[in-house]
Amino acid sequence: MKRLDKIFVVTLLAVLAAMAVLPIALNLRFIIFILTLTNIFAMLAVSWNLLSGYMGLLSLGHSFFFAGGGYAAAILSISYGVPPVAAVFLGALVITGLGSLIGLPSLKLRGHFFALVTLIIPIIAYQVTNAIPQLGGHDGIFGIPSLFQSAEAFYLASLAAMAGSVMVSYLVMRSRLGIIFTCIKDDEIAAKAAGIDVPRYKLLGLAISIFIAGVAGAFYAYLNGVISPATYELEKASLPLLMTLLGGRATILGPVVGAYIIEILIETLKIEVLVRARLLIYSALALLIFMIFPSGIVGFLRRKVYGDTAG
Amino acid sequence: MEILRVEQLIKRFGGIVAVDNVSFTLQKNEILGIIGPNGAGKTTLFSLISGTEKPDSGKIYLNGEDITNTKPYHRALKGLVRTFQIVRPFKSLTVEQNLHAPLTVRKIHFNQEEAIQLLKKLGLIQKRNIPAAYLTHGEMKKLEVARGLIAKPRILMLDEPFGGLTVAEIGEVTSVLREYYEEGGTLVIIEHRLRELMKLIQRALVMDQGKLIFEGAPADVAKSEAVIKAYLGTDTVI
Ligand SMILES: Nc1ncnc2c1ncn2[C@@H]1O[C@H](COP(=O)(O)OP(=O)(O)OP(=O)(O)O)[C@@H](O)[C@H]1O
Ligand SMILES: [Mg+2]
Repeated sequence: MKRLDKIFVVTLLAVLAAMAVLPIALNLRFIIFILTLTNIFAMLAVSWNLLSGYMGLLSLGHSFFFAGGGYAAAILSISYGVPPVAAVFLGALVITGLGSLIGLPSLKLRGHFFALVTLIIPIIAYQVTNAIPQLGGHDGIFGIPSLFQSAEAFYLASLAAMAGSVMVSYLVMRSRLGIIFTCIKDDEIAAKAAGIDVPRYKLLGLAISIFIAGVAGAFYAYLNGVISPATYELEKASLPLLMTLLGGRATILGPVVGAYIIEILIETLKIEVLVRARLLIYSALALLIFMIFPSGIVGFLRRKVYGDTAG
Repeated sequence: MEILRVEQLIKRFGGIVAVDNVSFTLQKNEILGIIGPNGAGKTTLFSLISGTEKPDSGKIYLNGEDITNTKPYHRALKGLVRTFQIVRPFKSLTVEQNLHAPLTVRKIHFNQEEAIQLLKKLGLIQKRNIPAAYLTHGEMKKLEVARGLIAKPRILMLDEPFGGLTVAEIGEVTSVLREYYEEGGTLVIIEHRLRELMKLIQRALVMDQGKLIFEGAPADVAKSEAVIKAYLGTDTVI
Protein backbone atom coordinates (compact mmCIF):
# COMPACT_ATOMS: atom_id res chain seq x y z
CA MET A 1 0.00 0.00 0.00
CA LYS A 2 1.20 3.47 -0.81
CA ARG A 3 1.95 5.75 2.18
CA LEU A 4 -0.81 8.10 1.17
CA ASP A 5 -3.28 5.21 1.10
CA LYS A 6 -2.21 4.07 4.57
CA ILE A 7 -2.76 7.52 6.02
CA PHE A 8 -6.11 7.57 4.27
CA VAL A 9 -7.27 4.24 5.73
CA VAL A 10 -6.13 5.15 9.24
CA THR A 11 -7.92 8.50 9.05
CA LEU A 12 -11.03 6.77 7.81
CA LEU A 13 -11.05 4.30 10.68
CA ALA A 14 -10.50 7.14 13.15
CA VAL A 15 -13.45 9.06 11.70
CA LEU A 16 -15.60 5.96 11.87
CA ALA A 17 -14.64 5.36 15.50
CA ALA A 18 -15.38 8.99 16.37
CA MET A 19 -18.74 8.71 14.63
CA ALA A 20 -19.51 5.62 16.68
CA VAL A 21 -18.45 7.03 20.04
CA LEU A 22 -19.05 10.78 20.07
CA PRO A 23 -22.82 11.12 19.56
CA ILE A 24 -23.43 8.45 22.19
CA ALA A 25 -20.86 9.75 24.68
CA LEU A 26 -22.28 13.25 24.39
CA ASN A 27 -25.80 11.82 24.67
CA LEU A 28 -27.12 13.73 21.67
CA ARG A 29 -30.50 12.02 21.39
CA PHE A 30 -31.99 14.09 18.57
CA ILE A 31 -28.82 14.05 16.56
CA ILE A 32 -28.56 10.28 16.91
CA PHE A 33 -31.88 9.87 15.13
CA ILE A 34 -30.80 12.16 12.30
CA LEU A 35 -27.45 10.45 11.96
CA THR A 36 -29.17 7.08 11.79
CA LEU A 37 -31.35 8.40 8.99
CA THR A 38 -28.28 9.81 7.27
CA ASN A 39 -26.50 6.46 7.41
CA ILE A 40 -29.54 4.85 5.83
CA PHE A 41 -29.59 7.35 2.97
CA ALA A 42 -25.83 7.05 2.60
CA MET A 43 -26.34 3.32 2.08
CA LEU A 44 -28.97 4.06 -0.54
CA ALA A 45 -26.54 6.43 -2.25
CA VAL A 46 -23.76 3.81 -2.14
CA SER A 47 -26.17 1.41 -3.82
CA TRP A 48 -27.08 3.95 -6.51
CA ASN A 49 -23.43 4.78 -7.10
CA LEU A 50 -22.55 1.15 -7.74
CA LEU A 51 -25.17 0.80 -10.47
CA SER A 52 -25.33 4.28 -11.95
CA GLY A 53 -21.94 5.73 -11.03
CA TYR A 54 -19.69 2.77 -11.67
CA MET A 55 -21.69 0.77 -14.23
CA GLY A 56 -23.32 3.69 -15.99
CA LEU A 57 -26.82 2.18 -15.73
CA LEU A 58 -28.88 5.22 -14.81
CA SER A 59 -31.50 4.37 -12.20
CA LEU A 60 -34.18 6.98 -11.68
CA GLY A 61 -36.24 4.69 -9.47
CA HIS A 62 -34.08 3.56 -6.61
CA SER A 63 -36.99 4.40 -4.31
CA PHE A 64 -38.62 1.19 -5.57
CA PHE A 65 -35.80 -0.99 -4.27
CA PHE A 66 -35.63 1.06 -1.07
CA ALA A 67 -39.34 0.93 -0.31
CA GLY A 68 -39.53 -2.66 -1.53
CA GLY A 69 -36.89 -3.72 0.98
CA GLY A 70 -38.83 -1.92 3.69
CA TYR A 71 -42.13 -3.55 2.78
CA ALA A 72 -40.63 -7.01 2.46
CA ALA A 73 -38.88 -6.77 5.84
CA ALA A 74 -42.01 -5.37 7.52
CA ILE A 75 -44.27 -8.11 6.16
CA LEU A 76 -41.75 -10.83 6.99
CA SER A 77 -41.46 -9.72 10.60
CA ILE A 78 -45.15 -8.91 11.20
CA SER A 79 -46.94 -11.65 9.26
CA TYR A 80 -44.34 -14.40 9.33
CA GLY A 81 -42.69 -13.73 12.69
CA VAL A 82 -39.20 -13.56 11.22
CA PRO A 83 -36.84 -11.96 13.76
CA PRO A 84 -36.09 -8.36 12.70
CA VAL A 85 -32.38 -8.74 12.01
CA ALA A 86 -33.00 -11.75 9.78
CA ALA A 87 -35.93 -9.94 8.17
CA VAL A 88 -33.62 -7.11 7.10
CA PHE A 89 -31.53 -9.47 5.01
CA LEU A 90 -34.40 -11.69 3.87
CA GLY A 91 -36.40 -8.63 2.89
CA ALA A 92 -33.46 -7.31 0.91
CA LEU A 93 -33.20 -10.70 -0.81
CA VAL A 94 -36.90 -10.66 -1.71
CA ILE A 95 -36.69 -7.25 -3.36
CA THR A 96 -33.43 -8.27 -5.05
CA GLY A 97 -35.23 -11.17 -6.67
CA LEU A 98 -38.26 -9.12 -7.65
CA GLY A 99 -36.26 -6.11 -8.84
CA SER A 100 -33.88 -8.25 -10.89
CA LEU A 101 -36.81 -9.99 -12.53
CA ILE A 102 -38.38 -6.67 -13.48
CA GLY A 103 -35.07 -5.16 -14.56
CA LEU A 104 -33.89 -8.14 -16.60
CA PRO A 105 -35.70 -7.44 -19.90
CA SER A 106 -34.59 -3.80 -19.98
CA LEU A 107 -30.95 -4.73 -19.35
CA LYS A 108 -30.80 -6.28 -22.80
CA LEU A 109 -31.93 -3.03 -24.38
CA ARG A 110 -29.91 0.14 -24.73
CA GLY A 111 -29.10 2.18 -21.65
CA HIS A 112 -31.86 4.77 -21.73
CA PHE A 113 -34.56 2.09 -21.76
CA PHE A 114 -33.34 0.98 -18.37
CA ALA A 115 -33.55 4.56 -17.07
CA LEU A 116 -37.06 4.83 -18.46
CA VAL A 117 -38.19 1.57 -16.89
CA THR A 118 -36.77 2.55 -13.50
CA LEU A 119 -38.58 5.87 -13.75
CA ILE A 120 -41.93 4.18 -14.26
CA ILE A 121 -41.67 1.28 -11.83
CA PRO A 122 -41.98 3.26 -8.57
CA ILE A 123 -45.10 4.93 -9.98
CA ILE A 124 -46.67 1.57 -10.76
CA ALA A 125 -45.55 0.19 -7.40
CA TYR A 126 -47.17 3.16 -5.68
CA GLN A 127 -50.50 2.47 -7.34
CA VAL A 128 -50.31 -1.27 -6.78
CA THR A 129 -49.43 -0.89 -3.10
CA ASN A 130 -52.21 1.62 -2.65
CA ALA A 131 -54.70 -0.85 -4.06
CA ILE A 132 -53.70 -3.93 -2.07
CA PRO A 133 -55.08 -4.07 1.50
CA GLN A 134 -52.61 -6.83 2.45
CA LEU A 135 -49.85 -4.27 1.85
CA GLY A 136 -51.60 -1.76 4.07
CA GLY A 137 -53.07 0.24 1.20
CA HIS A 138 -52.71 3.98 1.31
CA ASP A 139 -51.85 4.12 5.01
CA GLY A 140 -49.07 1.58 4.78
CA ILE A 141 -47.97 -0.94 7.37
CA PHE A 142 -47.94 0.13 11.03
CA GLY A 143 -46.45 -1.25 14.21
CA ILE A 144 -43.30 -2.65 12.71
CA PRO A 145 -41.38 -4.04 15.71
CA SER A 146 -38.16 -2.24 16.50
CA LEU A 147 -34.87 -3.61 15.26
CA PHE A 148 -33.19 -2.68 18.55
CA GLN A 149 -34.45 -1.53 21.91
CA SER A 150 -32.23 1.52 22.19
CA ALA A 151 -31.71 4.31 19.70
CA GLU A 152 -27.99 4.03 20.33
CA ALA A 153 -27.88 0.39 19.29
CA PHE A 154 -29.90 1.23 16.17
CA TYR A 155 -27.49 4.03 15.34
CA LEU A 156 -24.46 1.77 15.72
CA ALA A 157 -26.11 -0.88 13.56
CA SER A 158 -26.87 1.68 10.85
CA LEU A 159 -23.28 2.90 10.99
CA ALA A 160 -22.00 -0.66 10.69
CA ALA A 161 -24.35 -1.43 7.81
CA MET A 162 -23.35 1.76 6.03
CA ALA A 163 -19.66 1.00 6.51
CA GLY A 164 -20.38 -2.54 5.33
CA SER A 165 -21.99 -1.29 2.13
CA VAL A 166 -19.01 0.97 1.46
CA MET A 167 -16.75 -2.03 2.03
CA VAL A 168 -18.79 -4.13 -0.39
CA SER A 169 -18.62 -1.51 -3.12
CA TYR A 170 -14.89 -1.09 -2.49
CA LEU A 171 -14.24 -4.81 -2.72
CA VAL A 172 -16.43 -5.21 -5.79
CA MET A 173 -14.68 -2.40 -7.62
CA ARG A 174 -11.23 -3.69 -6.62
CA SER A 175 -12.00 -7.19 -7.89
CA ARG A 176 -12.26 -8.44 -11.46
CA LEU A 177 -15.90 -7.37 -11.38
CA GLY A 178 -14.74 -3.76 -11.03
CA ILE A 179 -12.85 -3.94 -14.30
CA ILE A 180 -15.75 -5.66 -16.03
CA PHE A 181 -18.28 -3.11 -14.74
CA THR A 182 -16.07 -0.24 -15.90
CA CYS A 183 -15.69 -1.80 -19.35
CA ILE A 184 -19.47 -2.01 -19.62
CA LYS A 185 -19.85 1.62 -18.61
CA ASP A 186 -17.17 2.82 -21.02
CA ASP A 187 -18.21 0.91 -24.13
CA GLU A 188 -20.67 -1.96 -24.32
CA ILE A 189 -19.72 -3.00 -27.85
CA ALA A 190 -16.03 -3.11 -26.99
CA ALA A 191 -16.91 -4.98 -23.78
CA LYS A 192 -18.72 -7.66 -25.78
CA ALA A 193 -15.82 -7.85 -28.20
CA ALA A 194 -13.51 -8.38 -25.23
CA GLY A 195 -15.59 -11.43 -24.24
CA ILE A 196 -17.86 -9.90 -21.60
CA ASP A 197 -21.39 -11.28 -21.34
CA VAL A 198 -22.82 -7.80 -20.85
CA PRO A 199 -26.43 -8.59 -19.81
CA ARG A 200 -25.24 -11.14 -17.29
CA TYR A 201 -22.84 -8.77 -15.57
CA LYS A 202 -25.39 -5.96 -15.67
CA LEU A 203 -27.81 -8.25 -13.88
CA LEU A 204 -25.18 -9.07 -11.28
CA GLY A 205 -24.45 -5.38 -10.70
CA LEU A 206 -28.15 -4.63 -10.50
CA ALA A 207 -28.67 -7.40 -7.96
CA ILE A 208 -25.85 -6.19 -5.71
CA SER A 209 -27.16 -2.64 -5.92
CA ILE A 210 -30.74 -3.66 -5.14
CA PHE A 211 -29.62 -5.74 -2.18
CA ILE A 212 -27.87 -2.77 -0.58
CA ALA A 213 -30.85 -0.49 -1.31
CA GLY A 214 -33.14 -3.15 0.17
CA VAL A 215 -31.15 -3.35 3.39
CA ALA A 216 -31.27 0.45 3.63
CA GLY A 217 -35.04 0.40 3.07
CA ALA A 218 -35.54 -2.25 5.75
CA PHE A 219 -33.58 -0.13 8.24
CA TYR A 220 -35.75 2.82 7.24
CA ALA A 221 -38.95 0.89 7.91
CA TYR A 222 -37.71 -0.28 11.31
CA LEU A 223 -36.51 3.20 12.23
CA ASN A 224 -39.90 4.76 11.56
CA GLY A 225 -41.99 1.80 12.68
CA VAL A 226 -44.12 2.32 9.59
CA ILE A 227 -43.76 2.02 5.84
CA SER A 228 -46.19 3.60 3.38
CA PRO A 229 -46.49 4.08 -0.38
CA ALA A 230 -45.07 7.59 0.07
CA THR A 231 -41.67 5.91 0.34
CA TYR A 232 -41.83 5.25 -3.40
CA GLU A 233 -42.03 8.94 -4.15
CA LEU A 234 -39.73 10.81 -6.46
CA GLU A 235 -37.89 12.46 -3.60
CA LYS A 236 -36.50 9.15 -2.38
CA ALA A 237 -35.50 8.31 -5.93
CA SER A 238 -33.70 11.60 -6.48
CA LEU A 239 -31.96 11.79 -3.10
CA PRO A 240 -29.34 9.09 -3.74
CA LEU A 241 -28.72 10.60 -7.15
CA LEU A 242 -28.11 14.07 -5.78
CA MET A 243 -26.07 12.82 -2.85
CA THR A 244 -23.81 10.79 -5.12
CA LEU A 245 -23.40 13.53 -7.71
CA LEU A 246 -22.52 16.04 -4.99
CA GLY A 247 -20.09 13.72 -3.21
CA GLY A 248 -18.61 12.29 -6.40
CA ARG A 249 -19.97 9.53 -8.57
CA ALA A 250 -17.78 6.52 -9.28
CA THR A 251 -15.81 7.24 -6.10
CA ILE A 252 -16.00 5.00 -3.04
CA LEU A 253 -16.72 7.64 -0.39
CA GLY A 254 -18.51 10.19 -2.56
CA PRO A 255 -22.04 8.93 -1.82
CA VAL A 256 -21.42 9.01 1.95
CA VAL A 257 -19.93 12.51 1.88
CA GLY A 258 -22.84 13.71 -0.25
CA ALA A 259 -25.42 12.04 2.00
CA TYR A 260 -24.03 13.70 5.11
CA ILE A 261 -23.91 17.15 3.52
CA ILE A 262 -27.42 16.97 2.08
CA GLU A 263 -29.05 15.44 5.18
CA ILE A 264 -27.42 18.03 7.43
CA LEU A 265 -28.60 20.76 5.08
CA ILE A 266 -32.13 19.40 5.11
CA GLU A 267 -32.25 19.07 8.88
CA THR A 268 -30.70 22.45 9.68
CA LEU A 269 -32.84 24.29 7.16
CA LYS A 270 -36.03 22.63 8.34
CA ILE A 271 -38.19 25.67 7.88
CA GLU A 272 -41.66 25.15 6.45
CA VAL A 273 -41.00 27.28 3.38
CA LEU A 274 -37.82 25.43 2.61
CA VAL A 275 -39.49 22.08 3.02
CA ARG A 276 -42.07 23.13 0.48
CA ALA A 277 -39.36 24.39 -1.83
CA ARG A 278 -37.36 21.19 -1.53
CA LEU A 279 -37.58 20.21 -5.17
CA LEU A 280 -36.47 23.68 -6.16
CA ILE A 281 -33.52 23.49 -3.79
CA TYR A 282 -32.56 20.07 -5.08
CA SER A 283 -32.64 21.27 -8.65
CA ALA A 284 -30.53 24.30 -7.81
CA LEU A 285 -28.10 22.04 -5.98
CA ALA A 286 -27.92 19.73 -8.98
CA LEU A 287 -27.10 22.65 -11.25
CA LEU A 288 -24.44 23.87 -8.84
CA ILE A 289 -22.84 20.44 -8.74
CA PHE A 290 -22.63 20.27 -12.49
CA MET A 291 -21.13 23.74 -12.68
CA ILE A 292 -18.66 23.71 -9.78
CA PHE A 293 -17.91 20.08 -9.01
CA PRO A 294 -18.58 18.08 -12.17
CA SER A 295 -16.81 15.09 -10.64
CA GLY A 296 -18.18 15.68 -7.14
CA ILE A 297 -16.39 16.68 -3.95
CA VAL A 298 -14.40 13.45 -3.57
CA GLY A 299 -13.41 13.52 -7.24
CA PHE A 300 -12.34 17.15 -6.79
CA LEU A 301 -10.27 16.39 -3.67
CA ARG A 302 -8.73 13.31 -5.23
CA ARG A 303 -7.47 15.39 -8.13
CA LYS A 304 -6.00 17.89 -5.66
CA VAL A 305 -4.20 15.19 -3.67
CA TYR A 306 -3.20 12.62 -6.28
CA GLY A 307 -2.78 14.90 -9.27
CA ASP A 308 -4.80 15.04 -12.42
CA THR A 309 -4.80 11.51 -13.72
CA ALA A 310 -5.03 9.17 -10.73
CA GLY A 311 -7.52 6.36 -11.31
CA MET B 1 -5.98 -26.72 -41.60
CA GLU B 2 -9.16 -24.73 -42.10
CA ILE B 3 -10.01 -22.59 -39.06
CA LEU B 4 -12.73 -20.26 -40.37
CA ARG B 5 -15.31 -20.73 -43.10
CA VAL B 6 -17.69 -18.06 -44.30
CA GLU B 7 -20.49 -19.14 -46.64
CA GLN B 8 -22.59 -16.82 -48.79
CA LEU B 9 -22.90 -14.02 -46.28
CA ILE B 10 -25.40 -11.30 -47.14
CA LYS B 11 -26.05 -8.14 -45.17
CA ARG B 12 -28.37 -5.33 -46.27
CA PHE B 13 -28.73 -1.90 -44.73
CA GLY B 14 -31.98 -0.51 -46.06
CA GLY B 15 -31.49 -0.31 -49.83
CA ILE B 16 -27.80 -1.09 -50.01
CA VAL B 17 -26.22 -4.52 -49.92
CA ALA B 18 -23.16 -3.94 -47.72
CA VAL B 19 -22.01 -7.56 -47.95
CA ASP B 20 -23.18 -9.38 -51.05
CA ASN B 21 -22.84 -13.15 -51.07
CA VAL B 22 -19.32 -13.37 -49.71
CA SER B 23 -17.65 -16.76 -49.14
CA PHE B 24 -14.07 -17.53 -48.16
CA THR B 25 -12.04 -19.76 -45.91
CA LEU B 26 -9.11 -19.06 -43.63
CA GLN B 27 -6.31 -21.50 -42.80
CA LYS B 28 -4.72 -21.81 -39.40
CA ASN B 29 -1.52 -19.75 -39.10
CA GLU B 30 -2.23 -17.70 -42.20
CA ILE B 31 -2.17 -13.93 -42.71
CA LEU B 32 -5.04 -12.81 -44.91
CA GLY B 33 -5.45 -9.24 -46.13
CA ILE B 34 -8.78 -7.67 -47.08
CA ILE B 35 -8.72 -4.54 -49.20
CA GLY B 36 -11.20 -2.54 -51.24
CA PRO B 37 -12.33 1.05 -51.78
CA ASN B 38 -14.25 2.99 -49.12
CA GLY B 39 -17.69 1.56 -48.47
CA ALA B 40 -16.80 -1.80 -50.04
CA GLY B 41 -18.21 -3.66 -47.03
CA LYS B 42 -14.99 -4.73 -45.32
CA THR B 43 -15.90 -3.53 -41.85
CA THR B 44 -19.41 -4.94 -42.18
CA LEU B 45 -17.88 -8.32 -43.07
CA PHE B 46 -15.84 -8.15 -39.82
CA SER B 47 -18.95 -7.20 -37.87
CA LEU B 48 -20.78 -10.24 -39.25
CA ILE B 49 -17.89 -12.58 -38.43
CA SER B 50 -17.44 -11.16 -34.91
CA GLY B 51 -21.20 -11.14 -34.28
CA THR B 52 -21.61 -7.39 -33.84
CA GLU B 53 -24.07 -7.51 -36.78
CA LYS B 54 -26.38 -10.37 -37.78
CA PRO B 55 -26.28 -11.52 -41.41
CA ASP B 56 -29.52 -11.62 -43.44
CA SER B 57 -28.36 -15.00 -44.71
CA GLY B 58 -25.26 -17.16 -44.85
CA LYS B 59 -23.24 -19.21 -42.40
CA ILE B 60 -20.07 -18.82 -40.37
CA TYR B 61 -18.07 -21.80 -39.07
CA LEU B 62 -15.25 -21.62 -36.56
CA ASN B 63 -13.24 -24.86 -36.46
CA GLY B 64 -16.16 -26.59 -38.13
CA GLU B 65 -18.67 -25.37 -35.54
CA ASP B 66 -21.58 -23.27 -36.79
CA ILE B 67 -21.33 -19.98 -34.88
CA THR B 68 -23.72 -17.97 -37.07
CA ASN B 69 -26.23 -17.46 -34.28
CA THR B 70 -23.90 -17.10 -31.32
CA LYS B 71 -23.34 -13.87 -29.40
CA PRO B 72 -20.29 -11.63 -29.88
CA TYR B 73 -18.90 -12.28 -26.39
CA HIS B 74 -19.21 -16.02 -27.00
CA ARG B 75 -17.19 -15.78 -30.21
CA ALA B 76 -14.56 -13.69 -28.44
CA LEU B 77 -14.26 -16.32 -25.71
CA LYS B 78 -13.83 -18.95 -28.43
CA GLY B 79 -10.79 -17.04 -29.62
CA LEU B 80 -12.33 -15.09 -32.51
CA VAL B 81 -11.24 -11.56 -31.64
CA ARG B 82 -11.56 -8.30 -33.56
CA THR B 83 -10.35 -4.73 -33.28
CA PHE B 84 -12.29 -1.66 -34.38
CA GLN B 85 -11.56 0.74 -37.21
CA ILE B 86 -12.97 3.56 -35.08
CA VAL B 87 -11.15 2.91 -31.82
CA ARG B 88 -13.10 1.80 -28.78
CA PRO B 89 -10.78 1.98 -25.78
CA PHE B 90 -12.12 1.59 -22.25
CA LYS B 91 -11.57 5.25 -21.55
CA SER B 92 -11.71 5.33 -17.77
CA LEU B 93 -9.39 2.35 -17.42
CA THR B 94 -5.65 2.86 -17.58
CA VAL B 95 -3.71 1.51 -20.55
CA GLU B 96 -2.61 -1.47 -18.46
CA GLN B 97 -6.13 -2.13 -17.17
CA ASN B 98 -7.35 -2.13 -20.76
CA LEU B 99 -5.17 -5.21 -21.25
CA HIS B 100 -6.44 -6.65 -17.99
CA ALA B 101 -10.03 -6.69 -19.20
CA PRO B 102 -9.94 -9.41 -21.90
CA LEU B 103 -7.96 -11.65 -19.53
CA THR B 104 -10.08 -11.15 -16.46
CA VAL B 105 -13.26 -12.28 -18.22
CA ARG B 106 -11.47 -15.41 -19.37
CA LYS B 107 -10.26 -15.92 -15.80
CA ILE B 108 -6.74 -15.98 -17.19
CA HIS B 109 -4.12 -14.80 -14.74
CA PHE B 110 -2.86 -11.34 -15.64
CA ASN B 111 0.83 -11.73 -16.39
CA GLN B 112 2.02 -8.19 -15.78
CA GLU B 113 5.49 -8.82 -17.16
CA GLU B 114 3.99 -9.97 -20.46
CA ALA B 115 1.71 -6.95 -20.65
CA ILE B 116 4.66 -4.65 -19.97
CA GLN B 117 6.68 -6.31 -22.73
CA LEU B 118 3.83 -5.83 -25.19
CA LEU B 119 3.40 -2.17 -24.21
CA LYS B 120 7.15 -1.63 -24.60
CA LYS B 121 7.15 -3.08 -28.09
CA LEU B 122 4.28 -0.81 -29.06
CA GLY B 123 5.83 2.31 -27.53
CA LEU B 124 3.02 2.61 -24.97
CA ILE B 125 4.98 1.83 -21.83
CA GLN B 126 5.22 5.45 -20.67
CA LYS B 127 1.42 5.70 -20.81
CA ARG B 128 0.87 2.50 -18.84
CA ASN B 129 -0.86 4.07 -15.82
CA ILE B 130 -2.76 6.76 -17.67
CA PRO B 131 -6.48 6.46 -18.41
CA ALA B 132 -6.94 5.57 -22.08
CA ALA B 133 -9.02 8.72 -22.55
CA TYR B 134 -5.82 10.76 -22.50
CA LEU B 135 -4.05 8.89 -25.32
CA THR B 136 -3.47 10.34 -28.77
CA HIS B 137 -5.35 8.75 -31.64
CA GLY B 138 -2.29 6.79 -32.75
CA GLU B 139 -1.76 5.47 -29.24
CA MET B 140 -5.40 4.40 -29.01
CA LYS B 141 -4.99 2.59 -32.31
CA LYS B 142 -2.00 0.70 -30.92
CA LEU B 143 -3.81 -0.02 -27.67
CA GLU B 144 -6.60 -1.54 -29.78
CA VAL B 145 -4.04 -3.96 -31.27
CA ALA B 146 -2.51 -4.72 -27.86
CA ARG B 147 -5.94 -5.45 -26.38
CA GLY B 148 -6.64 -7.81 -29.28
CA LEU B 149 -3.35 -9.66 -28.85
CA ILE B 150 -3.16 -9.97 -25.08
CA ALA B 151 -5.49 -12.95 -24.69
CA LYS B 152 -3.71 -14.87 -27.47
CA PRO B 153 -6.73 -15.26 -29.75
CA ARG B 154 -7.00 -18.10 -32.23
CA ILE B 155 -7.89 -15.60 -34.94
CA LEU B 156 -7.22 -11.88 -34.68
CA MET B 157 -9.16 -9.67 -37.08
CA LEU B 158 -7.71 -6.16 -37.35
CA ASP B 159 -9.69 -3.33 -38.93
CA GLU B 160 -7.23 -0.80 -40.33
CA PRO B 161 -4.57 -1.22 -37.62
CA PHE B 162 -2.25 1.23 -39.45
CA GLY B 163 -4.87 3.97 -39.84
CA GLY B 164 -3.42 7.33 -38.77
CA LEU B 165 -0.10 5.83 -37.63
CA THR B 166 3.36 7.15 -38.49
CA VAL B 167 5.74 4.93 -40.44
CA ALA B 168 7.65 4.20 -37.23
CA GLU B 169 4.45 3.20 -35.44
CA ILE B 170 3.42 0.96 -38.33
CA GLY B 171 6.80 -0.73 -37.86
CA GLU B 172 6.02 -1.35 -34.17
CA VAL B 173 2.60 -2.81 -34.93
CA THR B 174 3.92 -4.95 -37.79
CA SER B 175 6.60 -6.50 -35.62
CA VAL B 176 4.22 -7.52 -32.80
CA LEU B 177 1.86 -8.99 -35.40
CA ARG B 178 4.73 -10.93 -36.99
CA GLU B 179 5.69 -12.27 -33.59
CA TYR B 180 2.14 -13.44 -32.91
CA TYR B 181 2.10 -15.09 -36.34
CA GLU B 182 5.41 -16.84 -35.73
CA GLU B 183 3.99 -18.25 -32.50
CA GLY B 184 1.23 -19.87 -34.55
CA GLY B 185 -1.31 -17.04 -34.68
CA THR B 186 -3.81 -16.42 -37.48
CA LEU B 187 -4.52 -12.92 -38.79
CA VAL B 188 -7.09 -11.18 -40.97
CA ILE B 189 -6.18 -7.58 -41.70
CA ILE B 190 -8.23 -4.83 -43.36
CA GLU B 191 -5.99 -2.01 -44.58
CA HIS B 192 -5.82 0.92 -46.95
CA ARG B 193 -2.05 1.24 -46.52
CA LEU B 194 -1.39 -1.27 -49.28
CA ARG B 195 2.39 -1.04 -49.45
CA GLU B 196 2.80 -1.90 -45.76
CA LEU B 197 0.04 -4.51 -45.90
CA MET B 198 1.29 -6.43 -48.93
CA LYS B 199 4.64 -7.07 -47.22
CA LEU B 200 2.83 -8.74 -44.33
CA ILE B 201 0.12 -10.89 -45.91
CA GLN B 202 0.18 -14.23 -47.72
CA ARG B 203 -3.17 -13.97 -49.47
CA ALA B 204 -5.46 -11.11 -50.42
CA LEU B 205 -9.20 -10.65 -50.78
CA VAL B 206 -10.53 -7.62 -52.62
CA MET B 207 -14.05 -6.35 -52.03
CA ASP B 208 -16.05 -3.81 -54.00
CA GLN B 209 -19.66 -2.82 -53.45
CA GLY B 210 -20.20 -5.73 -51.09
CA LYS B 211 -18.85 -8.34 -53.49
CA LEU B 212 -15.67 -10.34 -53.41
CA ILE B 213 -13.96 -9.41 -56.70
CA PHE B 214 -10.55 -10.99 -56.22
CA GLU B 215 -8.88 -13.69 -54.23
CA GLY B 216 -5.22 -14.65 -54.61
CA ALA B 217 -1.58 -13.82 -54.05
CA PRO B 218 -0.71 -10.21 -53.08
CA ALA B 219 1.55 -9.95 -56.14
CA ASP B 220 -1.38 -10.65 -58.45
CA VAL B 221 -3.76 -8.05 -56.99
CA ALA B 222 -2.50 -5.21 -59.18
CA LYS B 223 -2.81 -7.38 -62.29
CA SER B 224 -6.53 -7.99 -61.87
CA GLU B 225 -8.77 -6.09 -64.29
CA ALA B 226 -11.64 -6.07 -61.80
CA VAL B 227 -9.47 -4.63 -59.03
CA ILE B 228 -8.05 -1.91 -61.26
CA LYS B 229 -11.58 -0.96 -62.29
CA ALA B 230 -12.78 -0.90 -58.66
CA TYR B 231 -9.98 1.42 -57.59
CA LEU B 232 -10.34 3.70 -60.64
CA GLY B 233 -10.92 7.27 -59.58
CA THR B 234 -9.84 6.67 -55.97
CA ASP B 235 -6.55 8.09 -54.77
CA THR B 236 -5.23 4.68 -53.76
CA VAL B 237 -2.36 3.39 -55.88
CA ILE B 238 -2.34 -0.39 -56.25
N1 LIG C 1 -24.89 0.40 -39.49
C1 LIG C 1 -25.06 0.76 -40.77
N2 LIG C 1 -26.24 1.27 -41.18
C2 LIG C 1 -26.41 1.62 -42.47
N3 LIG C 1 -25.48 1.52 -43.40
C3 LIG C 1 -24.29 1.01 -43.06
C4 LIG C 1 -24.01 0.61 -41.73
N4 LIG C 1 -22.74 0.15 -41.67
C5 LIG C 1 -22.25 0.26 -42.91
N5 LIG C 1 -23.17 0.78 -43.75
C6 LIG C 1 -22.99 0.98 -45.18
O1 LIG C 1 -22.55 -0.23 -45.72
C7 LIG C 1 -21.56 -0.01 -46.72
C8 LIG C 1 -20.29 -0.75 -46.34
O2 LIG C 1 -19.70 -0.08 -45.23
P1 LIG C 1 -18.39 -0.60 -44.52
O3 LIG C 1 -18.16 0.25 -43.36
O4 LIG C 1 -18.52 -2.07 -44.27
O5 LIG C 1 -17.31 -0.35 -45.63
P2 LIG C 1 -15.74 -0.45 -45.53
O6 LIG C 1 -15.29 -1.31 -46.66
O7 LIG C 1 -15.31 -0.85 -44.19
O8 LIG C 1 -15.31 1.05 -45.83
P3 LIG C 1 -14.06 1.89 -45.28
O9 LIG C 1 -12.88 1.45 -46.06
O10 LIG C 1 -14.41 3.29 -45.57
O11 LIG C 1 -13.93 1.60 -43.83
C9 LIG C 1 -21.40 1.50 -46.83
O12 LIG C 1 -22.20 1.92 -47.88
C10 LIG C 1 -21.92 1.99 -45.51
O13 LIG C 1 -22.45 3.28 -45.67
MG1 LIG D 1 -14.24 0.04 -42.71
